[in-house]
Amino acid sequence: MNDISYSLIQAIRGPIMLIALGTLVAIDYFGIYGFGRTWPVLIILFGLLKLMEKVVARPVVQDSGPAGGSAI
Amino acid sequence: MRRGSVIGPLILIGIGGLFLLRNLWPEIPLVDIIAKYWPFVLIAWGGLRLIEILMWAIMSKPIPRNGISGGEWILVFLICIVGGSMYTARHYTAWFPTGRAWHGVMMDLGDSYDYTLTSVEKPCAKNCKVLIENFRGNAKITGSKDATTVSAGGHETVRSFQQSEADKANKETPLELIPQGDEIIVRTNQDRVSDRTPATAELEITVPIGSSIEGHGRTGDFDIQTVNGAVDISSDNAGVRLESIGGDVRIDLRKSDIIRAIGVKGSVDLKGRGQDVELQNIDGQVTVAGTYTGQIQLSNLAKPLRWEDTQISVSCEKLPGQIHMGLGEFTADNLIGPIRLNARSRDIQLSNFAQALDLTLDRGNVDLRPGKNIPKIEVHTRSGDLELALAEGSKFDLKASTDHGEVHNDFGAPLRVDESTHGATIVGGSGGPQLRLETGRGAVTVRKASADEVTFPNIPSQPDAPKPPRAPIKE
Repeated sequence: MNDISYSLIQAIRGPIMLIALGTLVAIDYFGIYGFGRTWPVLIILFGLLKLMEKVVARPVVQDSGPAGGSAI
Repeated sequence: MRRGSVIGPLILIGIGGLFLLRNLWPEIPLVDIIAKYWPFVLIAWGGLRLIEILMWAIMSKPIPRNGISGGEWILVFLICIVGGSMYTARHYTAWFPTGRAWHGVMMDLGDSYDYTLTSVEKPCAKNCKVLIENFRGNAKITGSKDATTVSAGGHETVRSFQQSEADKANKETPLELIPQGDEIIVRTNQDRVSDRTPATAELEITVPIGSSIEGHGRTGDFDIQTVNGAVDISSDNAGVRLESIGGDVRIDLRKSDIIRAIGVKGSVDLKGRGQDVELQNIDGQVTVAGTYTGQIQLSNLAKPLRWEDTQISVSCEKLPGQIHMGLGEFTADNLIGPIRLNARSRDIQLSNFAQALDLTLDRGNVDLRPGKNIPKIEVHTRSGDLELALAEGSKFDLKASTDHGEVHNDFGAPLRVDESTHGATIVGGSGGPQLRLETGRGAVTVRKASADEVTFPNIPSQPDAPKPPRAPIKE
């Protein structure tokens, strides 16, 4: 189960970062907050996602290949 | 594109659809739409990929290691560069915090349509009052010696989703000049249209040179030149630039990026909040009460200056030289006192000042170079270094002390150093004005001034060139 959630969180990191980037730029364009102010959100989000990865990762971290590595 | 992903085909369909749209309906402002709405492509892309990955996870298909591959990130980067450049080119603004273009969500929806406003003209007295009512946009007002009328013209920008709505809004907002007693009211009628189709105007107004101006704006800049009467501006958000004003100036702004006044015969009274302030060649008293967080440049003020800020309060009787205030610093040259300066946290550099100086600081370094005629000086800071440069042979009675820190007597005799447990004091002199300097924590240095260091090099010799008014958005 851990393997699946680990690789799932790793896989959704890219899309979530992309959505966040698009949202921040859109927020800038619609005049709510400038991207110049909100960009640190991206770093925080990236850090949170990494943290989630660490939380669900197995205690002994192997080379994280594609899901299904647990068959070894 | 990743195998099995729908994103690649969707992007192709999207690009094809856009070209088709452009060919079938060329009047649709496609470039504007792309320039503004491209971030939603990223959001949609991310959203679809997220759904795909969750679907794969539910269906127990292998999940890719990276949701977005390296090649796809490069494509995202390219989209950002192209989209961002298009947006900047269309809207003359940027991602930087200094960009001051957006006044609310509603102001920014739809596309902008430009219209020429029919010019209007009304005769008026030589010293009439021109009142600009509830105005949104930029106004340039120029006084003319020969004019016996007030004339106004310019153009209007309406933001709307549809051209027909914009046309209607333009018809409802004619530019009018309404005489009322000695006053001429400049009315743009922008309040008649709803926030769905906000209208802003770029006005050029010519008035007789003796006129006085009163402007009430919601957002936008005022540029006023060569007017002999008083100028009174209040606005929610404005940049104000004044040049050659004969009367008193009163400016009350809730927000501003710049207030510039050059050559004012009367007094100047500033209130409110803003960033940069530049006052030059002012013959009357200058009173400032507000919060200004940008670069402050004051020079050649003939009457007293009273500056009351949340961070700093300064007063002096005359400023033949200049004062520069930036983030955490205050530099001044050639002031005539008595000078009172009170600040929380700031590094102070003062050169060439006459008459008494009373300086109180919470925190910050102080560097004083009084010049040849040393006035009475009183300086207190809780924490910070003190440096005093005194001309050789001048008369003074010095006591400079630190509670925690070192003292350096580089002046030599007749000064002497008295060491105490933690701090030290430099005392001495040859009789003359009292110089009392105290710091709670920091070094104290007294040295001889040399002829070539009377002013501080970081005072800009000339103010920056005025910024041109913001360019209108063109279709």
